[in-house]
Amino acid sequence: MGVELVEGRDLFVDEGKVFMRTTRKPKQVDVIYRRIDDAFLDPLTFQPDSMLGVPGLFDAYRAGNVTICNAPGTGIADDKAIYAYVPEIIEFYTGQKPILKNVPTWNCAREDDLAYVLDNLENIVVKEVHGSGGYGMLIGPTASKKQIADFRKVLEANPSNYTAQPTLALSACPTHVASGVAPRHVDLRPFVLIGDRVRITPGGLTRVALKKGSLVVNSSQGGGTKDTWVLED
Amino acid sequence: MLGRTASSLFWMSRYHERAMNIAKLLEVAYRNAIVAHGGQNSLDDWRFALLSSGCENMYMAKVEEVSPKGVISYMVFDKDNPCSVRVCLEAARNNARSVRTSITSELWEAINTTWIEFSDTNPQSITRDRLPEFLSWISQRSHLFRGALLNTLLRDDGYYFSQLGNFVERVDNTARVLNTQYWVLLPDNDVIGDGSMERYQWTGILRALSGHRSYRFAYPNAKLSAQNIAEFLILRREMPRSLAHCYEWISGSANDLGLYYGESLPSLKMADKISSELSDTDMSDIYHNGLHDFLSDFIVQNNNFASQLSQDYNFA
Repeated sequence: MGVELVEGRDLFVDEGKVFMRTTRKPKQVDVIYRRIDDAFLDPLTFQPDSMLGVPGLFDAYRAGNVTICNAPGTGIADDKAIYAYVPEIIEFYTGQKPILKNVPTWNCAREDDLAYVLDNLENIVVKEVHGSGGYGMLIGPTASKKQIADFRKVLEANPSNYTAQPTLALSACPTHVASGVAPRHVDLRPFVLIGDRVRITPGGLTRVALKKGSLVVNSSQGGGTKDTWVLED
Repeated sequence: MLGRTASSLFWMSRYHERAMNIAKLLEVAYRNAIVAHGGQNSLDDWRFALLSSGCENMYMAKVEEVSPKGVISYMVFDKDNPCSVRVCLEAARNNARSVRTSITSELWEAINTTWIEFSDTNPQSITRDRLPEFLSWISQRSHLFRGALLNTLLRDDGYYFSQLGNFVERVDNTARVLNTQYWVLLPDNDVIGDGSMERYQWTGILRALSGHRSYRFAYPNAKLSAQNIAEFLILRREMPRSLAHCYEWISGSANDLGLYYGESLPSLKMADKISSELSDTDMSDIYHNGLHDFLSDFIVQNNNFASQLSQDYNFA
């Protein structure tokens, strides 16, 4: 795609603009798709000991000389509790009902939702609101009685830390494993770009759970990826 | 191209070349140590490997006593020795990994498989008897790496940086090996007694630089002599590890890079200067001004070239 994969040390800020250190002259950077947390972006603005960031980046951002994508602060959308509010958010901003339905989501901070979740632990998936990587979660249908009992205690101790959803039947896809080709569960992340119009990038991220029967596709837990082509948007 | 990418390509090649050069030095130590030779303590052969790779002081500080086992383990496997084969192969592989998308899959497979197989090798299993086989495996993997690079890499700036790293390292190694034993290459050091001592030192140097057989082709009618060997390894352009040959490539790649970017930077001028000085001199000049001084100056000039190059092209 002609997009450079850079580290903080490949970039520098001069007179409020961001530049890339290349083998020739410094090249100005207009857009950064970042993969590091807000707190590490710029040691002059956030964590002063961050070695990952670019000193002065935030001033350049404030001056409108660089677009950071996703914008600082958008990490709030990673909080899984937000998901429960998505239909309301859509309605608030557009005045319309959402076209795609949400996966039903129970926010355990709400008393009724919590009661339902506690009654149905063996059927649903419960996740930490700020969790990622497939950690700190309960998959009710595959969990043992003990795991469910343990999780119940943790959930009751701090309900607002959790959301729950019904267990989704993930699709399966032929996958090369040690014994040959076998079905393994996958999920798909398409990348949707919204500007003057809505476009879907021709590639996407398909994650695959390599363990038999597993629904955990996260790479940090041994999940794999599959080459993905989006043929039409 | 990012400065960091150029740096990774440069160092990927440098480290891979260094790994092979170390293997060659050990091969010579092994071979010479098992061949009986009058009066010579065979531990000197292992010391030669330590000296030529520049790690004798560090070795003595850590291991204290020179022994075949100690030298093999230090120079091949030691994680604390910045020029062990292990550290070089790992650094080469890590540099390649950080530019994984800028190199071909053939090149990546070559370098990655070498590292995987090397790290699967139990150091205890490489006894003195198994050493030659293992060292020759390292050489072969290094040839595969070079072959994959030459046969598959796109001829753009990345290729030139990879070539520069290779030849800067190679020429440094040749100059160091010669400088470690420069006295055996002085013209008045011609054969004492039956000459077996000299022959053994000379063939050691030639073998360490993969030039034992090709010397015979370059000087078909001459016996081994200090002056011919020095000329062969310093000035003969057809010898692929000679200073002159390496600088022909370095200045060629530096010029290609200048053309590719459309600008001529100070490092290019330096490479041309070093290269033409090597063409304009002969062994009598070098001997006249002192072989040891010549080699020591050359090593400094080569280092200066490498740091100018990284300054010119923003190697972070």
